[in-house]
Amino acid sequence: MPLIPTCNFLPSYLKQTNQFGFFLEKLPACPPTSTLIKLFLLFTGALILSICLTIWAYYPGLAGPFLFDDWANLPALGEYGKINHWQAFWRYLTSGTADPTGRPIALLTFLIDANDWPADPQHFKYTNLMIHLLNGLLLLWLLLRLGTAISLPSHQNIGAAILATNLWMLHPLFVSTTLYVIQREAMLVATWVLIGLHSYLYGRCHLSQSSWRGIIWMTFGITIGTLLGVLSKANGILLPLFAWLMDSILIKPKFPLPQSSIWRWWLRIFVILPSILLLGWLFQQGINTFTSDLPNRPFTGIERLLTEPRVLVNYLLLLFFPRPYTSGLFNDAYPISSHLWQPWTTLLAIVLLSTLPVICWVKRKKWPVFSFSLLFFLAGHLLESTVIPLELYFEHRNYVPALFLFWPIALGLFTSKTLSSPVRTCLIIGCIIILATFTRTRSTIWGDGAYQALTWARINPLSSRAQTQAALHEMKSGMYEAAADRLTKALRQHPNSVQIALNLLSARCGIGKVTRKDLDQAAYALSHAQVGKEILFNWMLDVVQHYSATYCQGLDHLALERLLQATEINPAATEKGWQQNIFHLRGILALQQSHPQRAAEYFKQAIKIDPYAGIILREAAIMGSHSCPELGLEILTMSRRYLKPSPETSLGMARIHEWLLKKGSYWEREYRHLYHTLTNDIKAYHDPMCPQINTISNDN
Amino acid sequence: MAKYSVLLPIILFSIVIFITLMVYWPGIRGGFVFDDFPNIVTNEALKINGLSQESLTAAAFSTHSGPTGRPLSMVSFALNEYFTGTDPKPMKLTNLFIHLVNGFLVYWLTWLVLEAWRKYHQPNLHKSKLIYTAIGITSTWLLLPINLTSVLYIVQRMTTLAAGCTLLGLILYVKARDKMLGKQGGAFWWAGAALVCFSALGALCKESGVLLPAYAFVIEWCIFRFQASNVLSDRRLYWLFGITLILPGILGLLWLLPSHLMPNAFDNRPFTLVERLLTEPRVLLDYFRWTLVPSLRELSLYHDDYPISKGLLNPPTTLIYILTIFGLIWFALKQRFQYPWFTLAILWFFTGHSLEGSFVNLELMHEHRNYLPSLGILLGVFPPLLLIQHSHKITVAKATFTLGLVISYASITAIRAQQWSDPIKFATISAHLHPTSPRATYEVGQMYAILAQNGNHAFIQYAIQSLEHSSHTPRSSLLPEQGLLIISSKANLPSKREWWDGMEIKLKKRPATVQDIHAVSALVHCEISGICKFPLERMVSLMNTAIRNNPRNAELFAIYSNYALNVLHNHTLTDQLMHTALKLSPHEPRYLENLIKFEIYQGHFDKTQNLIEKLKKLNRFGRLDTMISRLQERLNKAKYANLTLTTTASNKF
Repeated sequence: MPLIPTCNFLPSYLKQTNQFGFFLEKLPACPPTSTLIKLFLLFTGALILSICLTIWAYYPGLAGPFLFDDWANLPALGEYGKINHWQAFWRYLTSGTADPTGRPIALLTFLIDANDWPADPQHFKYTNLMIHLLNGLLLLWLLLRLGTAISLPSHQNIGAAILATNLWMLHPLFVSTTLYVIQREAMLVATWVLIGLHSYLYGRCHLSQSSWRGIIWMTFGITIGTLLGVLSKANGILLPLFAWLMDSILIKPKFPLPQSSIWRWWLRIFVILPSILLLGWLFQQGINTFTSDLPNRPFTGIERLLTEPRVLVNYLLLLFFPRPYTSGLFNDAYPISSHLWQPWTTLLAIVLLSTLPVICWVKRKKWPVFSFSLLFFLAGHLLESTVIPLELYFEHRNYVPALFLFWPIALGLFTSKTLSSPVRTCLIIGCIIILATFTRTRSTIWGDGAYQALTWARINPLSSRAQTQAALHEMKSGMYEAAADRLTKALRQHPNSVQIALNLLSARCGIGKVTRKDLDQAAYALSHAQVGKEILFNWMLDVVQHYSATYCQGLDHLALERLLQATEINPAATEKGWQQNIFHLRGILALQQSHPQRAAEYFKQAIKIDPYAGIILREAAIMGSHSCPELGLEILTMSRRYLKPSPETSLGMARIHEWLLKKGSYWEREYRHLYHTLTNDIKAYHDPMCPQINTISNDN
Repeated sequence: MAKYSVLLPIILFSIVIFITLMVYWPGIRGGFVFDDFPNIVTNEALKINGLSQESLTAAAFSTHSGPTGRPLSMVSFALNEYFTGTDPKPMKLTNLFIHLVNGFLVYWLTWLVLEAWRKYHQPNLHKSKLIYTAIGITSTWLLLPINLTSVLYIVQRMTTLAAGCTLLGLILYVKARDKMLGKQGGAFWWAGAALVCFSALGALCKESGVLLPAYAFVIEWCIFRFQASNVLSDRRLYWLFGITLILPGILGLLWLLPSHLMPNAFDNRPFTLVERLLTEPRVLLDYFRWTLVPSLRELSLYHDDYPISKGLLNPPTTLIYILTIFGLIWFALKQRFQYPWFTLAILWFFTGHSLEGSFVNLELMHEHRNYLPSLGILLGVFPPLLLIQHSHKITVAKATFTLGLVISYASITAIRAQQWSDPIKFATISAHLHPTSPRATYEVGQMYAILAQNGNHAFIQYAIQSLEHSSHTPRSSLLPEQGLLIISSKANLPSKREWWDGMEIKLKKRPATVQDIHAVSALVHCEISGICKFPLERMVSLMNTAIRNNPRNAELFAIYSNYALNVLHNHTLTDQLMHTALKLSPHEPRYLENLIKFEIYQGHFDKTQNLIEKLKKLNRFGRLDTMISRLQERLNKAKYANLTLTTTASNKF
């Protein structure tokens, strides 16, 4: 029995983990078992503690409701009925409209939580939290391996990796990703990026031993990771660029490139070329943005480019100096930079963000970890925070870019020679407590829809979305006067906002009466608004459905007709969808007033604007359900020749979706089904509400 | 030697006890004040008829103060009530007795600490010096003017009891540590057990009891310095403090911080979290000053007029005080070996205030919070003064100085006790000393109102004047207006429009405080009980303003529901309001009780049974047994007799 135990005594766990290239570097060739067991226990304990702490911090948020864009995307779960057979599954999977890809991987994961709509948000949020934890573990593992790759001493490597992972996992800024169901898309991109980088790193480290094996792993990581990433959300396309950064800053200095030409060509094709293509495409987009108007946005292309550096600096401030709560999802009031010095921080932010990458690149050999983490952050924002005319500001855009941001800080804490051990421990514990409690506070707010709405309204007094959301909650709890006051104030700041104007009408209805002034304001908003077609459509449908003579004083059919006319004269309403909606609403209004013929005429006009199967079936079915099956049948048969799948579809997933519907004869079947129902209805009864139908048809 | 260590302290200590009794005696005659009323006077659960377990449990958990409900203190009040009735005098006597016992414990602890100091750092010290020093500290502490409110303010028995537990725990710890250094086996476990058990006992009296391990750590760090008998440092102690101090500290932070960071966390206060953190350094240094240099003009029960720091330079002293505190702590940490008593004093004082003087959502300033921390300041003053060997003349000078200090503290405390000896005197002096304090000015108005109620109508005008003055003080609550309305309604005088308007303006300006809620509740109760008659539209407007500006305050919804049911007779509104209150505060048994009574009254028996089941889930330690059985009885009666209650019967809730 040797006095010092040999490596055969290592716990098998340690040996396994060492296979992946971390943990034992820089320890004595054969360290005493007690040291290893201590390391093992500390590592495992810290890991379990991190997971428990993250779950604790996020737990209150799991009770929260669906929010904002969730409502726009998740109802697809029930659009084609319950998803309990393959056809429905494929239809659902291809039904996404965001990005050309439709983000099918994200849609696929929603099936874990529900296969119909409406669904319980709690399941979705729970799965999101699990994905967040998975991402945390993947990040930890990657940091450990990268630490080994850059030859960090084992204990510093482990400590820094665990701390950096905790800082990322517990950061309150990511509450609006993890608890915002639809942003599972962003979380999945992080998963694929991390898996891709793992695979790349694994291959890269084996390159010197077996170049083919290495190249296969790297190819696999880059292609599959990028593909799955893009199918989750478009910014998955950044993976090759991330890999390039990782390779050139962290790995290359320690593992120089092999001399073989195959390898060099591989790097050019799989990493450098996609990155350059992406940058080129962004450049071209930039020129487009500069030269064109952005009709659906309250800013011009140049304004976006001027504002984004400020946004990025703001993100960095929030990441390094977290707050217990922020403006949340409603950032529509983020001040736009109209000039280089308007506000004055614009120029400062631009200077900072243009020098930062240069400094990082120049100093990459001296401070590899710092340079890598910041360049990774900036690269991660290339798609969403530069030239593409998306909205200006969303916290969830930081989820992937900030992955490595805390690594240099953690490493600094563990390698610093000026800090004494108790001070270091206090700093680490302090940081973790602050982040965990901030996240818990924020997720508590997220766990209570009404509270969240009121808080966001307080933080964002200028945001029309936040004010509307708070007013909706106030109306729900019977506080109509408070809601009306809030909306009146908000309307003064945003006279063009359709959501404020229409909800103000609802609040006034709750109090008892809609005045002429309210209607004037709503008409003004509808005739001047750039966006808001869905809001008008949904609001009006809701009003019309509850419509009756006593529903709301002052909001009679004349008032509603006035609102529709105001919408019609809006210059933005030339779009086909708008026109169709206006006719559709007129039809519904006519039906409510018991004028089925007029309604049918409106529906026909709606169809004529852009005839496609969905709208034809909808209008016919509505007529049927309003006890006028003859008119329904008339619309159906008249429009049969138009029975094509959908309005002009662009390339991408939408086309596959239509192809699927066509292949499955979905519309044909739906058509036949409706035809039979309407015919049977005609046979079964004759409703007194449609007495003139016969006369009209006789005349014809 | 033996004489010194036994007889001398007994004689000296008896003299100190006697003087303390004399000084405090006039204060015993005083009445109940301020928080005594909700916690003791009007707390029905304390009026127990026997010493059965159920009645004592109900009494123990009859308040919502703190997370524990401070059961041991509440039981002590219940026992007081049981044996002596609702009379302030015996209660104050009990408080004084506890103070004297604490004085003895202070003497014991101080002596043990000084003895340990002598043994491990200064072996040539004469024992008599230790005794004089310990007696000096104890007598000063017993007679410190700043400690008066802890003794004569009955409800603050909570503080003195918790301090007693902490002192006992520290005594045991110091003794165990001494034995550990003397290589006695098992002493370590005694030290651990003392910290755990007495922290728990202290916390059951008041939350400040959990600070025991922190105090022990301070003594350890300054006096014993983690020494072991044979090695350089005793590693077991790291584990001990890790488990009893660091771990609970982290868990406590994780538990408390998130709720304090919520955007509406400080809505019940006139300050925000940041403002509290900025103001407390000024408060702490003022405590420090008042402990050593007490001022009759400044010391008071009421400090609700204390100016709040709105920014680092608003008032400018804020930054100076913050820097001073950091400087003091930094110096104390640096100079642990050079000036150990200074370090002990500073760390002890700030440890004692670490709970109530930091981020926790409490009022800004109360003198009773210094009960134990003030001992730290004395530990910083006396040992360096009295332990050092000097010539005879200087020793006499030092003794004279100590005696002079004790006498001057005793005189100030005696004057304060005199002020406390009569409720009217107390109220008028407090209002005079704090003319901008909403509470002090309200108390004096209330005092006149009580006098007027007792038949002397001449006081009505005084009461109205005082309350009107109080209603205009900055940060004043709705209580003065409420008092004005009730007085004028009772005396059939016309109410002024500005009183009603004043309440609504205050409600619109800031979130409702506990006092505001009390005021609204009192108005509703007065009306329901038929004593007062208020204009309906003003009351409805007041209620609506209250809930609109405090949409997450369950209590206001509950009060409004009471009004809606008993005055407006609007059942739909009552139902909505009751459900909202319950939704906002699902664990409040009173709201469930109200809803159950309402459902029984409406004849919804099946719903009622479900609600009673919910109530049973909230029944911790059987504290709701009586409530549940009464409700069940009411339900059964209503069911079988198919009897619906009349509206007047529901007035009871």
